[in-house]
Amino acid sequence: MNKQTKNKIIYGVIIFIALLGGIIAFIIINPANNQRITDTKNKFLPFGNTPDIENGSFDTITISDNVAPSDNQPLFAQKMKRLVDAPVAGATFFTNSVGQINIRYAEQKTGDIYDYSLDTGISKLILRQNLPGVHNVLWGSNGQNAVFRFLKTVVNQDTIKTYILSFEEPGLEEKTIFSGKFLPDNIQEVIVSPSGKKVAYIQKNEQGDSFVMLEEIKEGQNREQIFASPFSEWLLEQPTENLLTLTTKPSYDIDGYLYFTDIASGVTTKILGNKKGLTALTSPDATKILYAKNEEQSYKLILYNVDTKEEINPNINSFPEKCVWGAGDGNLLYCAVPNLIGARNIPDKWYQGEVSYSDDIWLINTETKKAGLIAKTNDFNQNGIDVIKPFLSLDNRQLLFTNKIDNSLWLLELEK
Amino acid sequence: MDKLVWKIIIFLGLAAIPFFVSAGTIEVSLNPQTPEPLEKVNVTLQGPLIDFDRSKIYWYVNNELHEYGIGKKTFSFNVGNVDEKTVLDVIITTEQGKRFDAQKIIIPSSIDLLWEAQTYTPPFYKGKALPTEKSPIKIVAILNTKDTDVKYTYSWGINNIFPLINYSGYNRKSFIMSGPEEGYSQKAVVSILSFDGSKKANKTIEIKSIKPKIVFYENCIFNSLCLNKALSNIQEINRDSNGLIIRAEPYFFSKTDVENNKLEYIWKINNQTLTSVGIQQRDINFTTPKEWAEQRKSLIQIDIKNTSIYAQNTNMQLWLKY
Repeated sequence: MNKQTKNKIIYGVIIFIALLGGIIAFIIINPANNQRITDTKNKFLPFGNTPDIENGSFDTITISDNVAPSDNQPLFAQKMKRLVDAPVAGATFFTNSVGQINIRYAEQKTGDIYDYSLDTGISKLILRQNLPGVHNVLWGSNGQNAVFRFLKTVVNQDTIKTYILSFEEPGLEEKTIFSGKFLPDNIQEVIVSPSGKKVAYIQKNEQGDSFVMLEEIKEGQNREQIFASPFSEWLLEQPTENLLTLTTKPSYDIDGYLYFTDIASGVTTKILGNKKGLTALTSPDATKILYAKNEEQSYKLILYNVDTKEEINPNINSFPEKCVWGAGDGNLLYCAVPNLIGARNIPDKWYQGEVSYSDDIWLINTETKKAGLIAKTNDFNQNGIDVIKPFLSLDNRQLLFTNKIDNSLWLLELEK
Repeated sequence: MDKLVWKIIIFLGLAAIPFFVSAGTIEVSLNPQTPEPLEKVNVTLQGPLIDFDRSKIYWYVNNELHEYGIGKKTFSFNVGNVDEKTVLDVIITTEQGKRFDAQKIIIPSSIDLLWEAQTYTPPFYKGKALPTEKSPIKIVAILNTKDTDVKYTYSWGINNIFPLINYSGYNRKSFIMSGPEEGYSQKAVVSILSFDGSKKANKTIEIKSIKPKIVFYENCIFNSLCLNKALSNIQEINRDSNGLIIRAEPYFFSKTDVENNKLEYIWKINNQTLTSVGIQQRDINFTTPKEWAEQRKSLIQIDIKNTSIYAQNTNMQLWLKY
């Protein structure tokens, strides 16, 4: 066999093998048979099918005829009254040692603390403090702990001071013991835990990074860091002992975000995002979020279910901070509702004090999807009341709130 | 014999070329390229050597056949949630019976780009500090992922300049830029890539500078509570009162400059500059004129200038009626 013949044979074998390989491959993966492809792929692709994604759906809360009359007359016969003459920095319900429910409050100008008796309508001085004007007082543990926020100003330089005061009230005849401590200066945000035994607050370093600290009120300076971020403009909520809510500070035309941070694990999860002017109020069991967003020249309340991602539009325009979740019933919301139709640059202008409102008080049942008018504040105060800091008694029968315009303290009795 | 071996190698190489060329010419393009969790993605097939219009095309998502058909060269599907892997397979059989496979694996990541302008707002102000010209703006990328062990590099850019090498790198989660010219906006972009390349995400935001703002309040000397209610442009005051203390709050000027007393406050009443008022005084005591019966109103004006940043200045006025 000469060399030329040998080469021809070798080339022929190579071409034959290549063709044979091609035919075998074509038979194996011939896509004319879909089932077969699927079967084949199943052997090699170990990933399961994508579960159906539940998209949030909108539903509308309707005003029930049997809950609120069509002429918008109030739902309940009720009483609303201004409790004290002086402006108030913060108030809470508290039960004294003989089981009476009273109101404990701090005066705005001095930080002096009083107990207001719901029976007699008389205020009794508990502690004189003479602070130089208090911005806000947060209460915890049945009025046994109070967090005072005030300013110290020297030549246009403001320093935010935060002071925690604890009460020990052994009995009616025994003297109350007070103890207190300062938190670091210039804390941007502070909240009291649901149990009232801890405070969570935001500290910043020189680079502007923020650190959320959790500190026992009565345990010296014991504190733990539960969150850190290069971003610092957070508003805090603590709906449960184990969960912290961080919401970005709002502006009408800026996307807002809301995150949950699990205190034990430190894991942060995004819950809401891309909502212009976002402000929010998380339910006490953290399963629902009442949030507001700036849309179509209004500030719409939306009820968001954290688990199902379902959204309900109650067709009510308000600020979540004008609302409070019903005590013991995660389905009830009491909201002060301003007239926000045509409102622009909200919530900025409201925070800057450039707009004020006369609110109506509404009750929203998130389960039955019904809402009804409870009271009109201008029936009780000539210019109405721009409600802030609403606070419910444990039996849901009394609603305490402050008028933003003059910091007057008001009580609405909700009994039917 | 050596010659023969070489011939075989060359022959096999040439025979294989079409396979490599064909495989490399199928382009599966995703829009968006780096989808957010649960986002809908549009897929298009492109390639010069395959006639897709005459080919039978099969689309699989996570191993499940979703669509197929002749000329079906576009497809849409939703990617999974954060950190969930979605595998897109496409199989193309040409009219001649030739088969081509392509695969895309998508692990969606989501970034939130938050920003905070380093501008002044009064203490306890609950709203957001807004950006003004030449004020620093800190942009922070928050990666929404449950997998905290993965290491990422962050690449930052402004407008068309990307990446900014000096501001990019491992764990560079934030970036500071200067506020754009008043009334104009600036784009900031971040691109995040995991060390192993399996996870990536991009985000762009646009930030617009506004003009600083002055709001008048009454009697803020001893506390900050006056911020709850601003004075209106035409403010009525009680004729019997002696007057009021007016505070001008300088919203959104550079925070550092406010803290370092770089702002100048120039007060005027009825167009007359108050020379007795200090240049850094943000409060004035307005006394109701005794001869109010004549005029019954006063014009209060203020100019606030940032002496460090020329562009940051503004003015405001209000009428007091008594």
